[in-house]
Amino acid sequence: MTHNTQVSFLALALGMTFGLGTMVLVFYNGVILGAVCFDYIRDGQGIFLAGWLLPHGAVEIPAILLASQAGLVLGHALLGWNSRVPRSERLRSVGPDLATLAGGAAVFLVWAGIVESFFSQYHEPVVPYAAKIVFGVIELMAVVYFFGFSGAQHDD
Amino acid sequence: MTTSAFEYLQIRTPEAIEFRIPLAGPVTRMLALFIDLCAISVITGTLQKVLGPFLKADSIAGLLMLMGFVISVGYGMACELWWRGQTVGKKIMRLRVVDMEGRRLEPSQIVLRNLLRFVDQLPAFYLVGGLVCLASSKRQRLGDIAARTVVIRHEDPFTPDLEQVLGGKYNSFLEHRRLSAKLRDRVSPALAGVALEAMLRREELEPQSRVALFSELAARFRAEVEFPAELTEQLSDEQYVRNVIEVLYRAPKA
Repeated sequence: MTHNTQVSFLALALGMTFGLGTMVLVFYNGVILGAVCFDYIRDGQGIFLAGWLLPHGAVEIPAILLASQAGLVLGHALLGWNSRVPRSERLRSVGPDLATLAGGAAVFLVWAGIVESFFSQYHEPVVPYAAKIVFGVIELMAVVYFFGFSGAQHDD
Repeated sequence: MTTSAFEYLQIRTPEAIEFRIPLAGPVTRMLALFIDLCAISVITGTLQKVLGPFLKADSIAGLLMLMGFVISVGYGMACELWWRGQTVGKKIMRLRVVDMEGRRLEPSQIVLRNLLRFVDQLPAFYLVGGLVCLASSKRQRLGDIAARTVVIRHEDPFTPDLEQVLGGKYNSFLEHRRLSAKLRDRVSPALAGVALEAMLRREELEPQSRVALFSELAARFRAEVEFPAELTEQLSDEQYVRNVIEVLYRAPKA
């Protein structure tokens, strides 16, 4: 969990490399995660994997994505394609957005950390897999709802 | 890269007032960082000691690691938010984080520059940040560039102790308001500083040098403003300079 926290904020900070570092980091982490999942599923341990990773992963992965989004926003502000505004002005305008994204990622990570410490590590028979998977799915739906439907409404 | 000892931040406000503030170099900032790291380790150590007995071994390890991580990042943010751009280390080294254009420091700027420590401390011990700071024209590391901040050092303003110099004697120059104002207008701060230094150290000078120095200073001041002859003919050069210093450094009564 601390590793994922460090990864997410490193992804944000690597936005200073014009976003290249962020993309590399996210790709690398995706590959690792995908490889681990593939290994478990091929071994027939899919349900165990879902019960283990879903409760905190449903929130932690979006947190990493949020932070890397912030990194890409920073990289975009640095690059400044199609913009006549000087670089310092671009950075000034994007600063509060970055802080908001970082704060959101931090909140997600804290929640994921709590869930991971006190819930995810109790496997069968203490906590049934179904309960954990349902919990994870509910979390995922909440995250999707939050990103999809909350916030300012645009009357287009 | 420049070779001057200090870099200065030049700010020109819309009212055409210019500020020149000295910037902090990477070495001073590194020293402040060491002090901050000590403070952070003290905080994490006390937290570990205090909370250790209360929580079970398993979950505590992860929680403590997270707390240590949060504190190391949050310490900078909290200190700089609370103390308007200073942490404990920066206070001791007399540095301060300010906005690049002299505006008010926004919280998002502080959050951003502390979050970007992750890339500044790569590969180890702030190597990337230090190199960028050295090479940057305003001594900014990557976090400063993104957040549009700079780190300045406070110059101690030298407030001269006038009483030991002036001794409370009557100064006829102060009566002549217009000439006094002209003197204040004409004399540069550097010259006033030199005269004050000479006055403060007059006892330590050799007698001949002392006479020569004060006659030269008096001649310089006479070249700027001519006070009426009946006042100055009875004054020695040293007394003349003493009067001039009082005119320059005493705030005029309204």
